[in-house]
Amino acid sequence: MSMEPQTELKESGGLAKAAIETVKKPYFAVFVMLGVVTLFEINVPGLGAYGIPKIVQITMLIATSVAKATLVALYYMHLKYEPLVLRYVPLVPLGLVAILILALVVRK
Amino acid sequence: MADEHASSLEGHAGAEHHGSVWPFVIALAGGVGFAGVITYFPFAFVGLGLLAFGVGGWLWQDARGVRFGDVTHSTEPGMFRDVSIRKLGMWLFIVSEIFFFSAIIGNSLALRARAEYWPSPGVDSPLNIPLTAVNTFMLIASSFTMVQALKGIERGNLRNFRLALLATLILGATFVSIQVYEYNKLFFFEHLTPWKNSVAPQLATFGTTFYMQTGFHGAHVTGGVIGLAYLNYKAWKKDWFTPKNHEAVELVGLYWHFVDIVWIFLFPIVYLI
Repeated sequence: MSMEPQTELKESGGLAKAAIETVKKPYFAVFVMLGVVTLFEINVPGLGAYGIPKIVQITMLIATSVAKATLVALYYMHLKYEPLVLRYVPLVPLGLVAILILALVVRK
Repeated sequence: MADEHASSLEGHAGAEHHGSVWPFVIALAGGVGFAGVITYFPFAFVGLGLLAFGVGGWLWQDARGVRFGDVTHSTEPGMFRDVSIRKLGMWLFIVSEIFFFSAIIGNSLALRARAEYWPSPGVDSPLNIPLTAVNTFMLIASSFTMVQALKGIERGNLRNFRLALLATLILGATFVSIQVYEYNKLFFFEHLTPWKNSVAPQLATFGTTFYMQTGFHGAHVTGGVIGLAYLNYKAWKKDWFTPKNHEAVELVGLYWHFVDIVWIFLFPIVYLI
């Protein structure tokens, strides 16, 4: 078995890996934020009783979901510490999401 | 195990090792199987056969102690040169999963927009929000324990690594168990079925989209639980995972966090809106 590929990775990807291991990561703070935001979310349907319109509730839930997903992707999936090019990879399918939303908006 | 490992790779001394062929066979099985479902159904069985062959081959290879954890490659020179090829592969798989779930959720929203009746949460919806909220916390907590497991093995703290990995497995299995309980209650007691039934015909479209979205997600979580069970098994083997060789933990973790993200969107869409 050749050891060359491993050395190669250490040389090429080693910097990113070293950065991951030395930076202090706020795992617990993210966990608390995810829990608090989820607590808020499960109370959103009850806001209708206070006269908050459905569209506002939906906007709130979309915003909190995007915020939570971003936290998980950046910190738990380590995208924040990865090379910049890898951070763009998960954005590729968002084009499809845009088309699907457009399809809903222009529905007959 | 280390000796078995060394001996298994002796035949490749001096040559660059490219890893196991079995994941490719499994991917091919998926392609043939799904193509069969939408074109010529018997091909679905060919896909199932290939899947069994691929999984069997992979397990057989693993049982012989063959492993590829320390065969690492960077990707080809280019924009991804700083990324491990396995990690890039997992991210591309996740991209394909984002396409998959986007289509399912988009389809469900389109059906909802055209439905004559849709139950409102907390008013006439048969869904149990408090129970599912607990389940959501389980999944969030499991993401936290998963990163703790990765942190543990990165720092060589085997005790923390094993405990956190076990906690992740238990939380994941609990999520699936609660979902099975919820399905049982909805299907048999609330008359929420994936098809139109005579007791609650107004829930037909809602039921279809509910089971499609949560069912596919639940299947993905079940797959993750199987992966976590495998990792837990390997974690107790001496020197299988080390601070320098633990990419499998990171990759299963990426997948696990992804199913968490899918639930982050599904929970409000299906239960709260």
